[in-house]
Amino acid sequence: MVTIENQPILAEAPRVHAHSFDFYRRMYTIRRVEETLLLELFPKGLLYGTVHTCIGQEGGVVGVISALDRAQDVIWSNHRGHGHFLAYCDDVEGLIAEIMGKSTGVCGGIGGTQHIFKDNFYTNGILGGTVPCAVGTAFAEKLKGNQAVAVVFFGDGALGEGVIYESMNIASLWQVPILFVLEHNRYAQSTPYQLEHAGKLEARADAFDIPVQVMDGQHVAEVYTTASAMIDEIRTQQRPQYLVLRTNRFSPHSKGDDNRPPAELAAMRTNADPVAHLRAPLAQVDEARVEAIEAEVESRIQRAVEAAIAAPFLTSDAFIEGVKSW
Amino acid sequence: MTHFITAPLVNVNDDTMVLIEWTKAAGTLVKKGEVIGVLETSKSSYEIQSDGAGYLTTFVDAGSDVTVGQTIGALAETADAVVSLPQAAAVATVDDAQAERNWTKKAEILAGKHNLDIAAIGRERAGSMVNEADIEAIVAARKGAPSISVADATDIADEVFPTNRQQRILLLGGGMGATLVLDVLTRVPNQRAVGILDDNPKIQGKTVMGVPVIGRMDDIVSLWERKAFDGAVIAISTLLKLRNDLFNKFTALGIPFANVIDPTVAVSSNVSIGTGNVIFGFCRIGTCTTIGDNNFISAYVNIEHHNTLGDCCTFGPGLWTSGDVKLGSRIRFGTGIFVEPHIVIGDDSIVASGTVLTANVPPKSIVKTKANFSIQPL
Amino acid sequence: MVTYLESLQAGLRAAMQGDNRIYFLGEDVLDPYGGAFKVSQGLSTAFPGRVMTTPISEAGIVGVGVGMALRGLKPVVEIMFGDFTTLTADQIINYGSKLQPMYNGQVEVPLVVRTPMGGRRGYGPTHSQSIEKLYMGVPHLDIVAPSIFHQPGDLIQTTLTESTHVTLFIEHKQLYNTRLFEAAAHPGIHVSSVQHGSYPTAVVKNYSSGAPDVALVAYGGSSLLVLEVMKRLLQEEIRVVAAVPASVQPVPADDLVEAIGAAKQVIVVEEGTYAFGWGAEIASTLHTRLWGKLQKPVRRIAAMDTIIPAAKPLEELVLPSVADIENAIYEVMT
Repeated sequence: MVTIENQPILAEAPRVHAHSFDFYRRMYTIRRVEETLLLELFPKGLLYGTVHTCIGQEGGVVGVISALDRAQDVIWSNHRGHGHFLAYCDDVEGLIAEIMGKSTGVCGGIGGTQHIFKDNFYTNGILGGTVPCAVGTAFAEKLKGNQAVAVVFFGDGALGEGVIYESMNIASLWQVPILFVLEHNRYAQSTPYQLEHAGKLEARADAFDIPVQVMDGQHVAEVYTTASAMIDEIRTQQRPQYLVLRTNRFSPHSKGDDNRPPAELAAMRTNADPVAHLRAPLAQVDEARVEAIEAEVESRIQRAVEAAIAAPFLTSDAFIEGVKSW
Repeated sequence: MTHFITAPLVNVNDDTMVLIEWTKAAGTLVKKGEVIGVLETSKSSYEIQSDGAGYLTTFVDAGSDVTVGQTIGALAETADAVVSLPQAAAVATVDDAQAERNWTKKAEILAGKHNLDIAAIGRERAGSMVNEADIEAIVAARKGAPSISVADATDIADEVFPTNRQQRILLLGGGMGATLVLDVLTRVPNQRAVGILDDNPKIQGKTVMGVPVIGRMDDIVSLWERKAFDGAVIAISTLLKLRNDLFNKFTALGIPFANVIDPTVAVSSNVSIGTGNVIFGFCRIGTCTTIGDNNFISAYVNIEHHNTLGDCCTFGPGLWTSGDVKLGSRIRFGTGIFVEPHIVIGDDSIVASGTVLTANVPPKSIVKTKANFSIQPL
Repeated sequence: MVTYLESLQAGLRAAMQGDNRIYFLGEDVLDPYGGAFKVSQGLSTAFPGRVMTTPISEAGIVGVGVGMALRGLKPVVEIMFGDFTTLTADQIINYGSKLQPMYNGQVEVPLVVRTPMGGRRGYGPTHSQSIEKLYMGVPHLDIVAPSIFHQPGDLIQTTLTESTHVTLFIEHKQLYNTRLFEAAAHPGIHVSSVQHGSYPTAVVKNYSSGAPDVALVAYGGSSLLVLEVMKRLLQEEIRVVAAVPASVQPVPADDLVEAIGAAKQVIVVEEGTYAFGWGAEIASTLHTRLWGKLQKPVRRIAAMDTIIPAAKPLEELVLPSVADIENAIYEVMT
């Protein structure tokens, strides 16, 4: 079994995959949307509350979600869910408006950054509790006779929550088609995982007879290939699997201070930036296409920001109407 | 020896079960361990095995509810033994208390509200149940003839010292005004309050500063007929019309009123005071002044010399008249008023607080002050 | 002659018969055992594959229920003892009841969490509580508690048919094997119903004419005490009207006001502890709605603010009794 003690390093250039330009567009979108939130909107006071970004983790995010059948499969994200959301449905406009609390957001601005829903995509700001819900959604699809698979993302910090183990037990016992994905970025908020967990995080599912794969999460194409194979198996075998992605979070936990050693952060960006790492070989193939993608994403984000700024908040009447009916 | 059969505890969730059947007929000789009946709980049916031997007697019919521990049958040593259900030891319950009384709780509560002795009524009607309707009948029968023990009782001190007996005062009105009047009476040595009348049903039977509310206003007639008081006084300050009407109505019936005057009031020489007036602490009445009837004069009112005051006026504290002022009847004075000499104030008027009156006031006038007055934050 | 339990069993069976989206999850719920209190007895035989016995994972199974409800099923999750719902609080508060409003109404979560609360069984401090008040005030969460004056089976069918969000369905251990109210068995006691919301409020009277002397408000297991008190006071000529709502949350204020009618004294009875109880909310509601009509402050009867001891006399001391209610009635009337 691969050890996950060390952070991932993208030593070798990735091979260019059939979907690489699409992967790059999605990863670049995620990166730039989150940078826009952190570096542009937040300092201007246009965001109310906090945001948790996944800058540095885009490879695994896009790799896993691209392996799903977006039409039927169910995704459960978490507090750090912008990337999962964009990888799933690419709704930049709906996401930015939601994070700004506007009525044009995917949840009318009521949910905000941590509570996003669209079609088959669910999030919640509380760690751990998403996992039994995800098992329930996958179980429901199975009971309904559908072929859908669910995927639930959680970080190493969430593994302290006991309900995850209840959920793994039930999923294995009832042969629920679900992929548990651990995005192991080695920090729970500010605390390194070694101060929170005993034993091996990759071994957590083994006790429930759930097959495990461990890999670097920065190689989008490799994650995609592995996740695709796992999801196919889950779909056909109707039993859960567990994917551990070694990854990095470049940005702070939320918007505030980051007390991690600057040298470590710098090394992350130098050695393991999944976006930059993919760009290089793609630029060699077709730099103009890469630049066109980037220009299109930039302009789309700027239009989305402008539209969200201009959009109204949900009216009191509309909200109260909703409250009465819920 | 007879062996009794009790309903067993089959499971912890069932206090009661149904006795489905006796599988052995009464009178049958039963061996130990034989099935004699079937119980049904919420979860299952349960066969009752005999835990003794003998001739079966059943106390409970098939289809009945039985409770855990209940004696449901017995096994006798001989076929012709007559076995009866053992009497349970008496357990003290609230029911026993009920068994000892011959009135309902409703009757008891109602009696309490009307100062009736329910135990006495119960004794009078021993053998029948005293109920709500009985108490209501008693209450209705005594209406118009209040049997107020306090007012009826002969005062021992009055009997022993008839020459200096206190004047017995009956208060009309049991509200805030009554507390003011009763307070004055605590300091007036030759008067005492014997009761209060008020039309408010909620305060009937209660006391104000220890003085009982003994009936409605109209009960004054029968009370006077029984000479239960010596003089009435109206303890109502602000409702001028009611004050006026009560006084006129009852004086027309010949009922006497009394003045209640605080001992600190300074009354000068040659002063004439009518009846039914209440005058509170530290008032002063100047010489050669005449006061009518039924006025309610608050503390620190100074009515100067050679004034006349009509009837049924009420005063806030702190009114000062100069000499030779004529105050009419049914005038309502506010607090803190100064009246210049020789002023005449007509009947049925209102004079607002803080007025400095320098002109005559015709009848049915209202005098307002024009001072620009405002309160603002510092 | 139907018991509370039989009504529930029949209601669940009818609901599952009529809607194949309904699934039943819980610990020890399979036949032949059929659940700790036998509510699911026969279900797993009648509906194979739709009754799941679960690990002892209360949070996990309520979470699974939330997920199933999100995807169009109607799960009924049984929590064996109400005391164990503390383990499910995150799933009920932060997931089940929140998803619909926080996703701006785009999802429905028709989950039913059923559980027995209540004492008088000698189960001691952790198996006897009435802790549904922990969930009172959680927005967008319905709390339903059938009494002996309701048809529990009808209520759960209403929930399963009509609700689009999470319902905490509170049963009472003491009631399971109690017969539901039938007029013939209780002469002099009259039961009718008022209903302005989703669930009915039973109106129980021990008189047939005149104005009530006092009104009781109670729910769930306390209905047994209410019936007993009303039967006793029938002989005492004290006219009592009781409002027994099936809906604990939301408070059916219109039902209560209508049921209480002309009564000028109100006593609220609950089996949970006194501090911050349901009765406080009811008292507040009634003071607001009936200001000027009540003659005295609403009186509350609840359990002592302590744990429920195992010993029978101590349990009886801690929990509200018929005598407590009877004495309170005399006090407010005097």
